[in-house]
Amino acid sequence: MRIVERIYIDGVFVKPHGTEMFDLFDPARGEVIGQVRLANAEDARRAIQAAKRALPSYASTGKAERLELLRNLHDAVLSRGADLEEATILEYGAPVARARWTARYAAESFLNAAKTLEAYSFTRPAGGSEVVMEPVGVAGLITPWNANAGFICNKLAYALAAGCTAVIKPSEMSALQTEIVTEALHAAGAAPGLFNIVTGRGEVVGAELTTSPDIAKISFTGSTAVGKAIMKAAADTVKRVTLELGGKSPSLILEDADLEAAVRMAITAGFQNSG
Amino acid sequence: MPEARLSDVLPLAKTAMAATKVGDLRDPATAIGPMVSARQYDRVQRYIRLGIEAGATLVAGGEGHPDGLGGYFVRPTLFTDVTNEMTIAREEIFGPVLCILTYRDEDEAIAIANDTDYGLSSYVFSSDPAHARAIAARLQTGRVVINGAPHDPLAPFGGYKQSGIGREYGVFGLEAFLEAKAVLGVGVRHSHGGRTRFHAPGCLRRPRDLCRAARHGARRCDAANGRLWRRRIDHDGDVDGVRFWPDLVA
Repeated sequence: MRIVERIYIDGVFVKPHGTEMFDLFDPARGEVIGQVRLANAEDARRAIQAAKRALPSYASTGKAERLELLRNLHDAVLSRGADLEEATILEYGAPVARARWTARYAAESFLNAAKTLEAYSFTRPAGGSEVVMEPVGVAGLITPWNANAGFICNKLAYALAAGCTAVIKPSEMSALQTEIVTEALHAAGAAPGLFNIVTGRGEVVGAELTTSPDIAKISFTGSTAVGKAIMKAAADTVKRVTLELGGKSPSLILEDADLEAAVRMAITAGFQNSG
Repeated sequence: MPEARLSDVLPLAKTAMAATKVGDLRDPATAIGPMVSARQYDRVQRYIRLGIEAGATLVAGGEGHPDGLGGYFVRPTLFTDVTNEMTIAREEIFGPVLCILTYRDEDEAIAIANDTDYGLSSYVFSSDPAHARAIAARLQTGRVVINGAPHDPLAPFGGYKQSGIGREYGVFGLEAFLEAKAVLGVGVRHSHGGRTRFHAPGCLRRPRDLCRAARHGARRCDAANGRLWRRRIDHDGDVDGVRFWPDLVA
């Protein structure tokens, strides 16, 4: 049995104030393999305050400093690739080929964000005036279980590239994977509070993020039903929202397609990530 | 797929389904693992049942576990004789269950593809790039993937309609965390020909030189067009022998 009783706030691992223990499963066997202690609203508020304190100095950093941070985060996550792969197989039930790809992809998110940042101009003219692109503020990043490490890393990478600090609420069903990602990110030696990782329930930790006046932006990946609830909750403080929700993505095989290849690829695409 | 090709496609689909490996997670050839939870397993089972009840025909798979497997493994399932009104064609299943729908012409194919509240991704298969692109232009999805192209981590990702708001990855993903602040009046204030204008910062160092430049045909003035502006003056001739332009362009 693996017991996860740590969340990450202000640069340190702490025990959550929350007391609910949530079972973790090996989906290949349908057996309990561990438990995670879930964070509560108080934990979420502490994480938000840490991110808020870290914001002014981080938002004023230049490109060079952010690029260095992103590259360090990449190296740190990459170095835990084997552990992450193992946890993704065990806790999520990903086949090894998929688990390996997702672990590498999570690390590469930081390089992709770095590449984007490097080429990006934060000022541009408009008419006779100047437009300055500024970090939106503290970002709340809410991620699902179907690509845990990838979503945490990708959303965090772009938030940091933009000069934002973040509170991340990963799925409670991915606690083992999240712990490895968190350890890796911590090892990169970033300033305290830049990112805070709080595993808990959506209706508790997620709700705190979506209603807090100190959160400026929510980036959420998950179901359309939850996305709608987040958008409604975020309306009271007029948060910016990025929502990546459900889909029903069609494959169109045209008359002039190579049928054998098209059928094979359409089925492969449809079954990606176990459907 | 085209209705007339269904009899060609079914054996190909059966072969592809038989080749889809489910089970041993340590086998690099395995494509499909278990569903993440009992809840997700039940959800997929329900959709398979709904497909059968609605009159769709199983090409492969069905309810229950694959042979020799337990846990939350489901049988990779393919239905044919599916219409776009069926629940299995409309709702996101989040498991390895696919449906074959046929169309009589491309207008119908597009109509079926777009008749949904979702709009995340779509896939087009064609041997003619121009044809694929023309179809892509008519699809209401955030991504259109042609001929199974691999994931592009710098191309925007996100949905039309109820598949979401905004985009992740690349420049779009970066700007999702940025606010635009317009600062007016920080440029060079300059009166010319009875009009007062502000010129973008970094473009001209001295307003006086801007007047001279304007007399010699320069019309554009902003930082982004600094080079263009300089070329235009070059192009216009020797500018009365006044070599001021290198000083003017930041």
